[in-house]
Amino acid sequence: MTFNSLGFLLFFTVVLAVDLLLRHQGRGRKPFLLIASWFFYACWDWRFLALILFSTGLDFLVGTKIHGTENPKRRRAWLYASLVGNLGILGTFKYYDFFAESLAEWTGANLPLLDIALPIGISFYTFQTLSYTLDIYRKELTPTKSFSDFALFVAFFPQLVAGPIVRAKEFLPQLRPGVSRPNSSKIQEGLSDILIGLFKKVVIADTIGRGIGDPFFANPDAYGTLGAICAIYAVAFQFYGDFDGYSRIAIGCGKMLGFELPENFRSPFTSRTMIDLLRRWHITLSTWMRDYLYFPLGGNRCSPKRALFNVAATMFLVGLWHGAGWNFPIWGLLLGLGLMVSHLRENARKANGVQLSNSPIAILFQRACVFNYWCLVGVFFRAPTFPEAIDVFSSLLRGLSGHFEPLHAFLTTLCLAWFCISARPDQWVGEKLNRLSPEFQGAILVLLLGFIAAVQTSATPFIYFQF
Amino acid sequence: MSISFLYARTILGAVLTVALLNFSIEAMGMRWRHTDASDRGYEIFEVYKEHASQKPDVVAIGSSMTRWGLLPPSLKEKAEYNLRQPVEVWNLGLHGGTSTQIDSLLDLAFSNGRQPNVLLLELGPSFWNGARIDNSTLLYWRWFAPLSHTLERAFSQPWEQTNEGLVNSIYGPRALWLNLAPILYPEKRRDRLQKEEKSRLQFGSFWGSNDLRRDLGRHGALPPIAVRAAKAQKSDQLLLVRPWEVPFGWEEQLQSVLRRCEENGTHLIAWVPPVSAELRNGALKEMAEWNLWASSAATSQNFPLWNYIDEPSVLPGMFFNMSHLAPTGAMQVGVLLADRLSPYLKK
Repeated sequence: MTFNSLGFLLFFTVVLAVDLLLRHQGRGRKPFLLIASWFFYACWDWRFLALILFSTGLDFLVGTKIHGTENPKRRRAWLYASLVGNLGILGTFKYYDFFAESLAEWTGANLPLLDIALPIGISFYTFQTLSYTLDIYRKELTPTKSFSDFALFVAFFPQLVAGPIVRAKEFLPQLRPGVSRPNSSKIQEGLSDILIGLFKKVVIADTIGRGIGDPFFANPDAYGTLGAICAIYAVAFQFYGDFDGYSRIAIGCGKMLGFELPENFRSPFTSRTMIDLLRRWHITLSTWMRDYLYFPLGGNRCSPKRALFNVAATMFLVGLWHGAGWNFPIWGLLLGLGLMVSHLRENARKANGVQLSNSPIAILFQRACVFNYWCLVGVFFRAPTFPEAIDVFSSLLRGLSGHFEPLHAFLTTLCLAWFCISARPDQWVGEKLNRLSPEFQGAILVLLLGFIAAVQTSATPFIYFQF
Repeated sequence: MSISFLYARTILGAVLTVALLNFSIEAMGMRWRHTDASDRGYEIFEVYKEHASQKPDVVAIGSSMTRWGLLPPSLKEKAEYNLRQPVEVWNLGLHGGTSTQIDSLLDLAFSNGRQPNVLLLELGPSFWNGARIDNSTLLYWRWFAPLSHTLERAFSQPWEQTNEGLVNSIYGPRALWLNLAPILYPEKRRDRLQKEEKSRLQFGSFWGSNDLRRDLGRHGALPPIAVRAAKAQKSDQLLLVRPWEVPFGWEEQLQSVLRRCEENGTHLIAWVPPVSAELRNGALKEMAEWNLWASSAATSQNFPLWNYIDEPSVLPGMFFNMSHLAPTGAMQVGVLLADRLSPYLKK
C-alpha cells in the first residue's frame, strides 16, 4: 500500500473519518491510530509485524530498565541488549546475504543464504527505537509509561516505511491529551503537502525515471556523452522527487492527523557546500548519524586525522544503511570525501577570516560544483552494481555517437532551471496551494490521481522503501 | 470553518471534477482512447451503447480471435441472403479477453431483454487460457467494469480487481492525461506496438520482453539479489504463458453460459476460430489435446462444436499474424458460419 496507490487513499480516508469522530476522545484515538498503523504495516506482509512488535517491546523494556537504575554497568548492559537486538535483526534481514555472498566471493566459503525479503521500513523504525533508548541512556529523555504511546511512536503509519526518522522527544509530547488535535488550517496545509509530494513523485520522479533514468541505466552502452549527461542529471532529480515526495506526503498525512513530523529536505540543490547539502538532504538521517555516531566518535573536535576518519566512518555507514551492495558504501565514502574537502576549505576560510562570496556568479558556481559532484557520485547509488557504475562513466566519454533524445535534454533542463534557480519552489507552491479553496484542492488531488491511473499499470514503489 | 465542512468541500470539489471530466471525455468520444494501441477492442462497448435498443439474432463472444476472426457484415449479408429475412449480428470479441470475463460479456448479450437466437461462444485457445487469466481479468476491471459492479464485488474479489475497478471510475481524469502521454513518453508509444507484436509472436501472449525490461528497469535501484529474484519471477511468468493450456474451472464457466442460454431460449454454439499454419505446426500435440478437450466438453455439456482451427478454405494469406485473421479471413469465416447458422435463425 504505497502512498501513490488508490488503496492508500481509501485507507487514509477511513482513518481520517474515524479520527474525526474520535478527535475529542483522548482514549479511543491513540489505540485507533496504533491499530491503523499496524494494519498499514501488515498490508505489506503481516509476518513482519512480529519484528516491529519485538523491536517495540525490546526498547520499551530497555528504556524503562535503563531509567530505573543508576548503576552504569547495568545501564550499559541494557543499552547493549537494545543495540544487539535491533542491529541483530537489521543485520540478519538486510545484510546477512550480502556479507555471505561477499565472503563467498573473496574466500570461497560457502555460507548458506537466507534469501528472505527485506522487511519494509526496517532501517527506519530500527533507528527510531534506537534513538529512544540512546536518549534515555544519555538522560536526555524520560521513558514513557504508556506502551501504546511508544508503540504508536514506532509504528505511526505516515513515517513508518520510509521516514522521516522521528525522535521520541519530538513525537511523544504530541501524544499528550489535546496536543495533536487537527484543525482546519493544519488540514489544508497537510493536504497541500500531500499534493506537492504526489506531484513530485508521480509527475516528476516517475516521469524522469521511466522516460530517462531507467532506460539509460538498463543499457548505458547505447548512449553517448549527451545522453549520459542528461540521464545522470535527470536521475538526481528522480531521487529527489521520489524521496522528498514521499517525505512531503508523510508530513502532510501527519498534519492532517494533527501531528508535526520533522522536515526531511530543504531545497538541497541550492547548497553551496557539501556540508550544507548534507544538512538539507535526508535531514533526519543526517542528524541521526551526527548525533548518535559522528559526535560520539569525536566529531571534528579532535586531531585532523581522527576528524577525517570520523567523517569517513560515518559516511561509510550512511552508505551501507542505504543498501546491501558495495556501491552504496562507495557512494557514502565519496560523499565523505566531498565533506572532508568542504571541511578543509571551511577551516581554511575561518583561519584566513574569509567569508563565502555572495556575488550571484560565485553562488551559481558554488551551487554548480556541489550539484555536479552530487550527480556524479550518485551514479554509484543508482547503478545496481559497481561494474555497472563504471559502464555509466564510460558512456560519458563516448562522444556524440550514442543514443540521445532531445526531449530528455528539455526535461532535464526544465528540472535544472526549476530546482537550481528558484530558491524555495516548494515553499512558494505550498503557499499558493494553501490559499486555494478546499474545492480546488480536491480537484487537484483528483487530477493527480488521474495521472497515476493513466501512466501507471501499478503504483511504482518509492525508491527509499528498499532501505 | 469546521473540519467536517472542510472535508465536505474538498470531497465536493473532487467529485465535481471527476463528474465534469467523465462527462466531457465521454461526450468527446475519448474514453477508450489508448496511447499504446488504438485497436484494443474497447470500441465494442461504444458500438454496444449506440445499438443498446437493438436485439441481435447472433452474438459472438470470445477473445481477439473472435474479434478479428468474424466480420459481422459478411455473416449478416450471407444469412439474410439465405433466409430472406433481416439478421442482426454482434461481435463482442474482446482483445485480450478470456473466459473469466464470460459473465460480463453475457450481461451485455442478454441485457435489456435481449434474447438472441444464437450465442456463438469461442472455444479457442486464447479465450480459454489459464495463463492469461490474471492479466485479462485486470484489463476488464481497469477498463470496463461499471462502478456498481466494482462495489458489489468489493468484498468477494481480490483487492487488486476492486482497485482497478475504482480507478476505472475516474476515467475522465485518466483519459485527460492519456491524451498527453504521447508527449511525455514518445519513445514508449513508438516502440510499444512493434515490441508487443513481436513478443506476442514469441510467447503467444501480450506479456512481452518489453514489459519484463520495463519492470526490471523500474526496479533498477534494487540490490542485485532483488533484481535476480525479479528476473526469475518474470521468467516464470513468461514460462507460464502456454497458449494451449485449458484453464481451471472451465466446467463452471461453461455451465454458467448454458444456464443463461437456457433461461433466454438461446442456442449455444461453440466454435473454434482458425489459427495459422505456423501456430498449428509449432504445437501439433498440444493442438490435438486441445481439440480433444473441446469436443469432449461439447459432448458432455450437449452443445454443438464447430471447429475451424485448421479450416482449409481459410488460406495462409488470410491471417495478419499467427493467431489473428485479416479481414479477408474474417469475411470467409462469416460466410462459413452463416451457412451453418441459418437453420437456427429461421423465424
